[in-house]
Amino acid sequence: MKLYNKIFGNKGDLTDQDIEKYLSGKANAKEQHNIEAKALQNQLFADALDGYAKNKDFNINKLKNRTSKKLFKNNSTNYLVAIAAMFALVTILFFIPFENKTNELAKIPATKLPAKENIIKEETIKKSEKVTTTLQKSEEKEPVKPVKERIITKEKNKDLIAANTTSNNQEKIAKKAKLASKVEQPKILENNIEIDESKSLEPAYSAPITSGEVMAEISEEPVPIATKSKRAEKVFEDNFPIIYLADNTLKAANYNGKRLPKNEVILEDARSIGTSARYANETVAEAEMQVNNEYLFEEKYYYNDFLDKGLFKYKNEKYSEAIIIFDEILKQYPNDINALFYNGLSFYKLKKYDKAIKYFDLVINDKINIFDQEAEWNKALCLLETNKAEGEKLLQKIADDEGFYSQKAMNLLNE
Amino acid sequence: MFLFNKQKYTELNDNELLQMYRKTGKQKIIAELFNRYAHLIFGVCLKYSNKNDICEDVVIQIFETVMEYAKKSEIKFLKSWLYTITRNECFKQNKSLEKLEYNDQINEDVIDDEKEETISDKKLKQAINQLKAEQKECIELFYFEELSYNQIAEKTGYEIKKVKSNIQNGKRNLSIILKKERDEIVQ
Repeated sequence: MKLYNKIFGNKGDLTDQDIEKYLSGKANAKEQHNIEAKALQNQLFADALDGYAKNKDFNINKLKNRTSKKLFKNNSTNYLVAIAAMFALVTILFFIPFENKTNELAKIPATKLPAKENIIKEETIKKSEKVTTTLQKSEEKEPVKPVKERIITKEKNKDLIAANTTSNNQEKIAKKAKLASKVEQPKILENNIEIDESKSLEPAYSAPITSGEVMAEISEEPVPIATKSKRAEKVFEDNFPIIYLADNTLKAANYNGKRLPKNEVILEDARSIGTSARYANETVAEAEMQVNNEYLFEEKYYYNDFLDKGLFKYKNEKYSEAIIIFDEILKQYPNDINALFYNGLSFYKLKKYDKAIKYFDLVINDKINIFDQEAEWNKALCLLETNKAEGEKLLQKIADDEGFYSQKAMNLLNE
Repeated sequence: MFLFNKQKYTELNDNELLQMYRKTGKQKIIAELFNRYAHLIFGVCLKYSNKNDICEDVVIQIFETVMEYAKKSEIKFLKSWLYTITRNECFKQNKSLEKLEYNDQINEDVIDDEKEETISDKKLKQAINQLKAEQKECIELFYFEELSYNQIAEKTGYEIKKVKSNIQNGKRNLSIILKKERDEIVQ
């Protein structure tokens, strides 16, 4: 070790255990020296040790616990707000599909239905007629309905739908309506506020015109689920977005957005913390929205940030540390192309060629092809160290492919 | 699972934590900083204030300031910054202290490992030879023979306080000498 580092090197933080040990006199000469050296690193450490030396009977842990409770006390209350917000959103979402289904049912003429269903329907119509007449009176008195009453009407609608399930036609429509409700959620929410009660009470014949029109428009252009997922796959294979990390020097696949569906972990994390204090005075809906945004944001931030950390380690030639980080990523996302490729490179630099080749093979066989050329080239370099004949074969292939590395491969072969 | 669990906070350094806090505003990050530095801030308060019971208030005040300030601005050297605001907070309570100005430039305690490695043993010894005899003696005993203050006091016959100030001042002077030399080379 250099003398310079003996004096100015990083000795580590001064922990509360250090302080207690030092002041209690239990530390031996070597430990005393170490703690003194830590304290000499900066003014904060030095003065802190002086302060405790002045007041030896001070209980550090007690004070720390008490203050941390005072400082972070609003965590638990915000936690409750977050739960309430979640619950509210879930209940709202729960009701939307039923209301849309009933709208669709209303549009189908009763004559088209099979006879049995017709009878059932007539019965339910009569029932709901009674309910509406009685409720219409009460509605004038109290326009805002409590949630309980809404739930009862929803249950009636459930029965109605159950009675009609034999009709394939209607099932399809119900599905469409469900899809449409996902697309047009904001609009539907608005409608709900205006005509909520009438809609749920008289589903069979007097469908509300406004929402009916909205539904008709949407069902004319069906939501293409199949084509959508195909399109997503294509992006995955061909033009995968690229990002440059580690001070814009290293290429990586940009998984932003694609990592979103797997954010359960982040949710868990955020739940254990609760919402931060700045949401304290906002309405439940706003708080919920901000919490949601935060999740999205965090997911993007964490993955790329973590990757960035690994790439920096790689760039600074700390390969074994980089491998630890990439392995962490692979634990969560086993097919992560970035982690696979840079793990391969790290093993190559550490001269563990067999392992490196395994990783490069995984990269080459993966759907995402942004690292294919690099992986092939590096695999060839690995093979040259272990199995020269195969390495030269691969080099020849690279040279023939006329890719980025073909010239390099050619030169290497000529040597 | 692991990527994003609690441990991540303890593994990150101060600047990474602060950067993350600026992006996410998570209180948990501040809690980690609290774990690292609260006892030290207590200690500084104990040194500078005459009443022990205000220490708690000062610590709460300091961390509320950190939460607010770190959200918007970058803090390069957290330890020095904490020291400065802690002292200034104590100053509010105890008028006899002089107020410090926080300045990124004066933080000699923060070392850039990569740069400094270029200083050779020979150069360092030359620099140590420029120190006062007392300081040189204490520095060498402390850092090279790794003795504690007590042992140095026994060996040299100085008081412990004297040993300590010799090492502190010697270290500061040494870094000033080295910095001067480095600047000369650059010029």
